[in-house]
Amino acid sequence: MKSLSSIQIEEIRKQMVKFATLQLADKDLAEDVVQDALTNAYKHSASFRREAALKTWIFAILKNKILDFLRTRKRHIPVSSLCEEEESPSAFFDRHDHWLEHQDVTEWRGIAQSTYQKEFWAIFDICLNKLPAQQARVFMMREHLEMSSAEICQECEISLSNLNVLLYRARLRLQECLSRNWFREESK
Amino acid sequence: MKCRQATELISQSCDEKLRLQQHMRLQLHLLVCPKCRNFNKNTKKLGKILRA
Repeated sequence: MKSLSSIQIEEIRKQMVKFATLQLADKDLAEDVVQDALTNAYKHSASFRREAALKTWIFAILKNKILDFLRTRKRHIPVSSLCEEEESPSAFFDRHDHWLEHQDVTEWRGIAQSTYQKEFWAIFDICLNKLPAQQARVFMMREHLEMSSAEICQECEISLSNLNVLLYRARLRLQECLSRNWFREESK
Repeated sequence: MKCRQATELISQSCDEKLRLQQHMRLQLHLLVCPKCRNFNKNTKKLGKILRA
């Protein structure tokens, strides 16, 4: 870690703050947690050499810091209201609840290779940021932080059925966005 | 089963075990609906790459 340039560290720090802000819904709090994680990483950095491994390791520390914080906090941050989530996924289905004809749902090919490409993650980032904040937040809690449904419901003060709706809409939209902007472009 | 309900169950199955009847009805729908079949595969792939 000590061999990284200040530019590299700042780049990783920005990514950490972005991720922590999404999860904690509070920029100042996110900065604090990231600072804490980086300090912790710096103290125990001797055994890490490669940049990729280092980032993985630092993010593991950050994930644990966020999880610790979420699990010990009680009703500290008011969750944004669900009003922004009210729109339904009617853009995908017809009035008989079957896929609209123009919705081209094709199987993603070569996704494992895609994840090694910087451009894929740039597109993913754009798609994630296009989601309503609450959808993006619970989706990443579930799929990246690997929190249980019960933990997310407790943290966000929402019911299980609300959570299922939020996750469903996030998956529907993310898939549509990635299909349109990455996988369809890739197959051309 | 309609596609909208099938996609809801697909999403739900990522987070919890479906009841046997839900699972069977979904599997029957996937047999006849290629779009839902692809949605199911892509949803599982997305979760997998995010974790990995």
